[in-house]
Amino acid sequence: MTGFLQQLLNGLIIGSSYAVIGLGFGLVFGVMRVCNVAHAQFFVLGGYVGFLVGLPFVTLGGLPIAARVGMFVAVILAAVLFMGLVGLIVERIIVRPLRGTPVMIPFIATAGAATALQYSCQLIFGADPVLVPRFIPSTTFYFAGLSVTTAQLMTLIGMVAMLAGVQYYVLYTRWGQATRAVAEWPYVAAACGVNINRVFQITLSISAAAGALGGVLVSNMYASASPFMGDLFGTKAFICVLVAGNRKIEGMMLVGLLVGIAEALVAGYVSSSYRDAVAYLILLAILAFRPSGLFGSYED
Amino acid sequence: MSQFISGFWVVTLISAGLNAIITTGVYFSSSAGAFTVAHAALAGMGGYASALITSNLGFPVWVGILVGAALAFVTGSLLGWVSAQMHPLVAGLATMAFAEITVVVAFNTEQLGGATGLTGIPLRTNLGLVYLVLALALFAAWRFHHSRLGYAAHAIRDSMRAASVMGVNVVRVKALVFGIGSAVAAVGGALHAHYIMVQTAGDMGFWGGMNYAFFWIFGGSYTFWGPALGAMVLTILPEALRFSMSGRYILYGLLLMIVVVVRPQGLIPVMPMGSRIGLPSWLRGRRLVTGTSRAGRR
Repeated sequence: MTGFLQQLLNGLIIGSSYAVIGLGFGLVFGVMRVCNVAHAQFFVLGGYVGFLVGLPFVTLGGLPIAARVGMFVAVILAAVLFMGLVGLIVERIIVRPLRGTPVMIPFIATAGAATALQYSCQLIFGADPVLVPRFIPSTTFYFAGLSVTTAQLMTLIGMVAMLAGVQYYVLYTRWGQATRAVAEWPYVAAACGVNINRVFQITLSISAAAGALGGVLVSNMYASASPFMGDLFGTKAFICVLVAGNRKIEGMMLVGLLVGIAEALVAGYVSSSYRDAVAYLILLAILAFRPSGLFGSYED
Repeated sequence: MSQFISGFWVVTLISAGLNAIITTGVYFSSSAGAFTVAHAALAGMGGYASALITSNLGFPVWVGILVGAALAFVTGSLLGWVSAQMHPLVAGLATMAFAEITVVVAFNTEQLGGATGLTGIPLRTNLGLVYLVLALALFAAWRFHHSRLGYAAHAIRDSMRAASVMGVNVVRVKALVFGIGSAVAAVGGALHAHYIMVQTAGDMGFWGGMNYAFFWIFGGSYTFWGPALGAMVLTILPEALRFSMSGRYILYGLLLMIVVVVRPQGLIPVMPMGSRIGLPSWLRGRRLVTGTSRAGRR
């Protein structure tokens, strides 16, 4: 029983990393109907910014815990600000000129951007994974026979915080209201005086920042970053968004967690080599019965 | 022919030709409006089938290629049939799921060599054969472009609802053209396996399929020869960019991005991809009417 619960917990943690990456992707997909393939690279870049900013501090040992937490917050802020800026640039040069084209056109353009970003990372940092310094020392907590590390807990907490933040923004702020209006019906929103360009800019910027935060958390969890880590996590997060559909961000996070749990259970009880097929099988099964995803609708 | 050009160019031209064949398969499959990233997997399926049949059972190579094409036709038709009614984006992602599942299955099946793949496939492909098959594929694509089936497919791409009102059996046409394209891609994949003499599952997934989608959109998807041209250009270009070994994929990605942003309809400006860009509306309207009315006479 404890073994089963431990598998469930591991799945929850893997799923939370899918959910933190999928959040920004789902936001852009829901509001702008753009499949941003480069989002996985935003995630990778976030991890590398964490690595670069953290690098000078690695040698400083024996700092009090408060200083370490402060540094981790500084790393997060740096990654979020930098990638927010990258998001603005990507919106201006790729997404805005292609608004109103069929879905596969921005898909291919962002995939080109993803290729360029990925190989830039490879050129700068090398193809091998780099060791990302951990500011918060990793301790393992035991609770009723289950074990969980600090970094894993931080990913879980980060996921909840990000979901709460995005939900607060979308539901309770003025720009969030405008965002919902644009997601519902862009032309009517524009006719009512919403500045669509500004909404798209802010949305993509928030999404890139969320991807960067996910990158910091996940690279902190695995203590490594590599140019190709976006491929696996990005594709999985992508699937979670499609299974959930384009309407509900919290539904997307839930699906991310469920996919993680399903993968952990298959890896634990069936065969770990079939683990990566689980998400795709779920996707095909859901799409066969609900073509717009669990909570989605594409009518427009 | 290969005595006139250097070995480097023979290799480059053969891989360009093979990519052009597979991308022509993408042209067929996408002619009814489906976006596909499954063609790397379907090509790999052809490669596996032909490899098993020629090296394990000792049949001549054309039997292997034909069996591979038949297998891919059946699989592709099923995939096209399943995804026929989906939103285009969702259908594209269903093909992605199919491709990734194929990779996982191929990696875990011992009869297919597992992670190491199949080795020792007989070398049967040369420059002449590749371009002969490419010419045949392009001829088929040309005839298809002006056939009843082609008009029906284009009508579905322009408006699925209008086409079905005019009496086109949307699901059947979509499944059929997807199957044809899959078979063409499988022929290319089989030739590829008989060229590099190894077949692995490594390049069959999402990014492998995206490569062919890049080629397809780069050349322009509204002509039958655009995709093949896009494949030739984009295969030869990274080789020509070899002056900066590590930077060439960065240049490749940037170039792709710029071309799509500047010319969303592809390099060849025959028809716009979407309804909001490119040609004046009177020309678009006429084409739409022509396409559906011809299809309506079926």
